[in-house]
Amino acid sequence: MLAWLGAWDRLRELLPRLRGYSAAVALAGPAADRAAARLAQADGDLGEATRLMDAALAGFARLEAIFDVARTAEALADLDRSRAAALRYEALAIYERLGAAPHRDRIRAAVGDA
Amino acid sequence: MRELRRGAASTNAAGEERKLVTILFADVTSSTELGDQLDPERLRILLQQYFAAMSAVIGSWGGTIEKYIGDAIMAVFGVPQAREDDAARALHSALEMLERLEAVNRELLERHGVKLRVRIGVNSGEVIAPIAAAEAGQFLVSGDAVNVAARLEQAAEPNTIVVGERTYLAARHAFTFGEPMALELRGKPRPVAARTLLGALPEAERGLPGLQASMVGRDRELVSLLSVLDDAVETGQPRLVVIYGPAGIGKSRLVRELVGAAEARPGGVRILRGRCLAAGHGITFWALGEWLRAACDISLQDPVELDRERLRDGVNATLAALTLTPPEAEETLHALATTANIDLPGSPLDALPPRDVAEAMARAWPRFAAGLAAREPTVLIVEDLHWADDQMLELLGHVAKRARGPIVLVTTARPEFAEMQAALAANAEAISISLRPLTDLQSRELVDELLNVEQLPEQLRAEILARAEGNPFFVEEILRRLIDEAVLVRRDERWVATSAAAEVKLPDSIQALLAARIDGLPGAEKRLLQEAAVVGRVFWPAALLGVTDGEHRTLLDSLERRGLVVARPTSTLPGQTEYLFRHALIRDVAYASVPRARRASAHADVAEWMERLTGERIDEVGELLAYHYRSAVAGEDADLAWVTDPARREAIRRRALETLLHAGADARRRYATGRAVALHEQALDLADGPGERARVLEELGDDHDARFRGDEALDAYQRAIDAAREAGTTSSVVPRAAAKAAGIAQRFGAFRVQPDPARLEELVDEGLETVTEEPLRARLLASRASMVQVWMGSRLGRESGASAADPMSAEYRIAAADEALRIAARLDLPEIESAAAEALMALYWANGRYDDYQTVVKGQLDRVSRLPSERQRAQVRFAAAMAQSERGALRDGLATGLAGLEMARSLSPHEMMHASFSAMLPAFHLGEWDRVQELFGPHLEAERREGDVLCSAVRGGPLLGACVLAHRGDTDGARRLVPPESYTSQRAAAATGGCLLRYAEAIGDRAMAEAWLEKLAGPSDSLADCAAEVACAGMAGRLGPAP
Repeated sequence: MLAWLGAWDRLRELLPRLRGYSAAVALAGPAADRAAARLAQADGDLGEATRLMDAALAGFARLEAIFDVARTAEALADLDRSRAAALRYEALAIYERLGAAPHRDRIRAAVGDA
Repeated sequence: MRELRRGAASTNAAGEERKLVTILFADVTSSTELGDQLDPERLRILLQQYFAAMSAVIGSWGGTIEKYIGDAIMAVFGVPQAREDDAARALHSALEMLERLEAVNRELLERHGVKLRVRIGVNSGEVIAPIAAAEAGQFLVSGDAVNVAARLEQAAEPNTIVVGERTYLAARHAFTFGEPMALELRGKPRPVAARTLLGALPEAERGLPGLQASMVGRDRELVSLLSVLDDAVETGQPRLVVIYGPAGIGKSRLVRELVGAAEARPGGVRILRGRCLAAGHGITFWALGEWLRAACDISLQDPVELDRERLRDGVNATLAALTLTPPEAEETLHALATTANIDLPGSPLDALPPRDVAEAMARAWPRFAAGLAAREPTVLIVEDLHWADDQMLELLGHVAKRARGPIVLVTTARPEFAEMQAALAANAEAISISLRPLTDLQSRELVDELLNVEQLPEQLRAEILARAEGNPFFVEEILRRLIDEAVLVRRDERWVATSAAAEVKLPDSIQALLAARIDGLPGAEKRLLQEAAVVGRVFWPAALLGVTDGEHRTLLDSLERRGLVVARPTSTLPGQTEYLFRHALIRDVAYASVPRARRASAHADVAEWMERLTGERIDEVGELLAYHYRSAVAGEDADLAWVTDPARREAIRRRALETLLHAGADARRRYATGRAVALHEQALDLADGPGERARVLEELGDDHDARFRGDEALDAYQRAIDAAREAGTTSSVVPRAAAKAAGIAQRFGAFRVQPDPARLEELVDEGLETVTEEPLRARLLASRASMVQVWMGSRLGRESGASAADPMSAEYRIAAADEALRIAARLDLPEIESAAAEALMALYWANGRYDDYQTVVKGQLDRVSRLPSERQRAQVRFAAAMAQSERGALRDGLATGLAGLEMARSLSPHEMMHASFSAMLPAFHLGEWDRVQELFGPHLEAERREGDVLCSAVRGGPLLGACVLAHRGDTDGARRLVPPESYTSQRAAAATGGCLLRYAEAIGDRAMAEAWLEKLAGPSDSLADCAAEVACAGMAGRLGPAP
């Protein structure tokens, strides 16, 4: 959310709290990883960003939170070009399953561009 | 009837009198075989029971037992005094004898293993009656009519009634009969005409002879009603009809016509009638009680044990056609009894809070209606619905919506009801029939139908039509007034206008007309009518003090002839004829004419009579009793009645206070909480001194608590504690009220202004200092622990400014919860255990002890089956589903949430939304979006009914639904579903947190997201925590400070 808004300072400030929450709310763990990956990406540390985004993807997948799996896979595709196509197809399959038309169309366009 | 009347008084020199009477013979069939089966002593006891029951019925209809001949009874209607409606009374008596026989047989079967069957013959004719014997109490009538009656009885099939032609002619307007028969009777040279009596028409008109009309101008409406009945039969689905119209327009008449037409259909129709009472602005659920009593043959005056048995038998037989589990059937029985305030020992509902009782009632009545309809099409009638309160309307709505089977709910109401029927409309789609004034042509037809008047000046006829403005009751009353004033007189079977007709002045309004009619009554009749008006629209002569028994009958007969009252075909009180003011307006005008001082003392007399009459069954008339006692001391100018007797006033005031307290608590128990508040506020007005005020205020607090009004409840409890301190009764009231106050403070959604937690802590302190009972101590300790949630809530509740920190340590509160748990477990008080566990959950969560938190959640699930109410069980499932989702077991969370939803469907909209949200949240994350969309439809419907409540589960449901819509491309639909302007306040935003921000992201509205984020982040640390949680993780649901 804060990443979407580009509120990096707020995100940096609140991230530790979110990490603290992950013991209580399982979804907060991968969400914190994804937020941290966004921060690292904004800071130009793509390696750390990829590692964290991978962790987020695994976390959401473990919880079967599939919409977040697709969103995270999409974000990871932007970080790791070598796996971009596979990740986008994975996200596309989920969006199609969910009937999430705008997301499906967006990613189809991205796959087409690629 | 006119013929009967004319023949009623002809005497001869021998001290005998020729009289036209109606004779009833009833004989037990196969009594010889019974004699063979039973020991003579047992047979004698059995027949005594039978004779006692039948004699009581005959007596109640004004008949006299002429003699017993073996097992036969001969009764005469018309000696010592002839009445115009003797034939009708005899037939009502015969019908009721067969009804009572069923009840007698139930007992006989159980005690003696046998059943009786009875044949009845009724005949009218002239007889010779010796006057002296009559004066001595012996009525040895003789004549051919007597012999024919005996022969008709012998010709009857067992358990049927055969009626002679003359009786039929005299009573044909009030009863239904079979086809004519020509019977060959012993001793009669020619066949005798006779018919089988089938039943009574409800509330048949018994006014002046000839002053009766067929229904005019309502044919289309009757056809509509019958087609609704057809529709219900064809589809097997209930239908609800509201017949609207102002007083006197003919609503009741239309219902009577419907009943007559429905009963005449082949195959039969079950009809139950009830009426909402106006006394004290509505007696809760009275009409439903009338249905139940009629269906189970229960009367207020029978021994309580007998009626409990009848209730069980009647309800069980009705429910037999449904596939209910034994606990469901038991719950239904007790919920029906609770609705009618019938005390049935061992009720599982006694342990439940009022809202749960209301839900049990909301399940029970549709089942009962479905059970009735499984046997035959059923018409359920409720008249005067404008007197019903919201709870009554809700229940009717549930019947219309949830019951299955050919059921038509027919209700009548005045036009203003259309504006206040939201509670009914929320539950059912009602078919409206509005009765309009009659046209001039129809009014003219009505006048002609009512009276075939000769020489009625055209000017007077025109004036009648103009004054009446198409209101049939007004037309009728004008004619009655003209008869009273001898402007119209009866001559040779016709009505003739006298010369006075040219000068008569008609009053301008129906009220003025009625007032003039009542004022013109002979003194004794007027007094009796006024006394009766104090009792209510329905009354029993025995309630009317100051009038002797002998006078009653004569005066009431006269009032009945004048069309002011009618005797009802059945009575709530056996052995006593029940009368009804022919119209509510007559009662109102008569009541208004009672001098105020007498009005007050008359109310006291009526209340005392009701108490004596009902004895241990006083609860069943509790609200009526409270109404009469209160009217005796708090009615307008009631003080005038007691100027010379202050001691009696004080005694009546105390009874008023007690009965109001009791009636209010009863109303609350049945979740008629608005009514409970009204009754207890009346009690508060009557309370004298701080001790009485403390009692009443605590009850008021309970009422507001039950209706989820936190601010009012807290205020009442606080005032109760203050009053108790003033009265020096702290040890009983203070701990209880303090625990209750702390209890409701946990329910944030119940408050418009969040309560001050420091003040509540002081109350809990005071409670713990004064408490002497262990269960209450456990409750207070649980409250002490739960206060952590109030402190947390108080922070969220502030729009701005610094947050208030909990002054107590977590360890202190955890220790209180543990002690509460120990005491509650030892005393087996699962509700208090559950409350303490809830507090522990909040404490562990707030202090980052998430594993302990999950352990407590598991413990809650383990004890869920021991919790007494569905609501509590559903709440535990809601909390468990949320906890499972939080720890990442989304599939478990979904399963628990769906299980809770099944349970919560029959609970309040709020509980239903808690449950549906707890399923929607994991479903959303798991990508089961079709399921989310399935769930949010009912959630939205429930939200509309719930109103403006700040609750994350209530508000979160539509947001999740809107997220799904937006993610699937229907952004406009999402915006329509959740208009952004509905979340303008910080509290609203905080209550929905993550869902709200997820929604903003889903619809791609950055400005909205930033605005809401700002509201969430604000100056408060806790809100920043919330923002951190929701902004980053997008999790919805639980709010609380981060570790």
